Amino acid sequence: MVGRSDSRGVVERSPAGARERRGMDTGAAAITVEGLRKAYAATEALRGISFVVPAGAIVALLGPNGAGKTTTVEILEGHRRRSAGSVSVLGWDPERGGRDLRERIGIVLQSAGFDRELTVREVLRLYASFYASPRSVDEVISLLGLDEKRSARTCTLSGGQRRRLDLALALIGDPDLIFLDEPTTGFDPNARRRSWEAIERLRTLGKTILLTSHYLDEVQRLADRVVVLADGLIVAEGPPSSLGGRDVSEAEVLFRLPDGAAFTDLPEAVRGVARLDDGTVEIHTDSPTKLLYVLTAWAVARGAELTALRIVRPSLEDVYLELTRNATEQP
Amino acid sequence: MTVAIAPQRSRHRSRLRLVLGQIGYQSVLLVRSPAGAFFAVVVPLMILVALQFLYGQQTIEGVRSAQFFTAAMAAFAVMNVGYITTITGTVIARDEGILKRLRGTPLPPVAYIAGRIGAAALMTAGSVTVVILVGFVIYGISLDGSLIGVTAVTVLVGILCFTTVGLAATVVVASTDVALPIAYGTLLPLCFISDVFIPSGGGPGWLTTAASILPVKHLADALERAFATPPGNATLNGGDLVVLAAWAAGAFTVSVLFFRWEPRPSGPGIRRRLVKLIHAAVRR
Repeated sequence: MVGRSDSRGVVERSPAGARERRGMDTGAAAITVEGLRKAYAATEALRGISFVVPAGAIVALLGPNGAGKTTTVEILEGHRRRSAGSVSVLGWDPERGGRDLRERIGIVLQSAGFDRELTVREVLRLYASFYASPRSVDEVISLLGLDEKRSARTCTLSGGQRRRLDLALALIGDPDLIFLDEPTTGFDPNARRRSWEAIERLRTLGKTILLTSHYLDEVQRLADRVVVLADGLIVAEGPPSSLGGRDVSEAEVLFRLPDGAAFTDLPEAVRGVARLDDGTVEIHTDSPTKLLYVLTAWAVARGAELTALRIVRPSLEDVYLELTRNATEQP
Repeated sequence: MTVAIAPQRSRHRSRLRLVLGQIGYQSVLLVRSPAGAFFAVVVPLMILVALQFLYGQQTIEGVRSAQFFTAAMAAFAVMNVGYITTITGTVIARDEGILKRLRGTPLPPVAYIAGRIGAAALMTAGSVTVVILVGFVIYGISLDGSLIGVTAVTVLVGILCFTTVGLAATVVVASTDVALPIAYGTLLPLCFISDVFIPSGGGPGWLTTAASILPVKHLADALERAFATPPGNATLNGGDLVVLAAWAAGAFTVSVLFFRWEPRPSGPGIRRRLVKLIHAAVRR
């Protein structure tokens, strides 16, 4: 199981009870993908990708439109057939897992509707009736914050409420593994935050989640691991905090030149690597500690304040844009 | 290297319970959708009243017009529920992504299909009862035990036939936009050449042959003949029922093999779709 390398103090999620009851080994992989390829008539949507989703982890597939995220997820869900490669989902080949597999997975499709004639509670009761051991309908309604809407027809729900009902339907069978295909696309910030909270609650239930997204903040907040897809290939993989080596890559030190000081007054060790841009000094360095030691000693000796002093590492967005820059944008 | 989890068999809900659940679910959808009741009850009754208004004093094929038209509209109600609402309801559910969502659950596809047929049968039982009661109460048609029995069996075989034919038709219906035009565009002309609205004055030979192959005429004939027999003597029209059952079997096979759970991506037209279907059939 991939450890969480975050410092947000998220509750350790291995209420292993549920998983062990079902004989799921927490050290095992819920999904393994090896050399997966998918060709449509003339184009190859996936060109040989391999990754693993450890049981109990939240893994995100990140990438621009047309990168192959939905194709990957739909092959894993059993909605699409692969052209080549091997895939295992909870030990099953999704093309052959049938009801045994579908009893244990929950799917949130990128877009899927509801029967407008039914109420929230009726839809959930209907879907609960498909599973051998479903969760309680009322409990799932509360978990997703749909209490006020339980007796409302589905056609009266807002976009955010519909998405939470999607999630509720994916959860109702008490699955071990949940697929979330762009769960918050098109949401306002409040609705996104509420959905994130709902997804984080799934984490505490010990569910394994494979999520696709093109929102970096979403991935950063929710995922243990990120797999970056571009043009049908994996271009990077790792925890969001160190993706693309951003935790060890060059830092940028920035500050404004103090009043009365000229660029040439800076100590030699600083001036040699610095660049002046409209009063702001920019320095790229792989040893920021040493550089700051020299710089701050110089400023203190002059009695000057280094205004707007900051150290910047590439953001997830910088890394992502760099990684996917060459991928063909498709609608 | 992480090892993959070993596959496990799961417990399942019994198929019977799932089918019964689907019948209940589909029935609620039919009853709550205004279009369902409109096609099932309102349309056949409107036409019954209109035809009686026009031809009320005449004798048709040796019986009072009301006797003939009540049987015809009972048959038309079966076709409306079985064929029209199955096509529109299924294509809407497919375009909305509801079918794709269902496909991702442990619900077996055959339970969905059985649910549709079961719910259509219940809805039809209701609408045929209403049509016959209107014929009986307002137009004074004669009714007896043997006729009710024959009608029940014929309607049951008819609904099985038209619902499965409707499901099979959804394979080639591209989208919600064209569902109703295609459904009525195929049913109404057939009704005219199959003696549903007006007894045929005899058309060109090829038209009669076409009608005798397709199921519409056989359902209409089976009911009209039963309603035209002297009271107490109604018997099942075995030949017609066999043709209806054969259509049901063929359509059921097509549905099971080619039923589409996902909306069509804006892409291949009907011609490419047919070519793909033929290729798929050959491969199988």
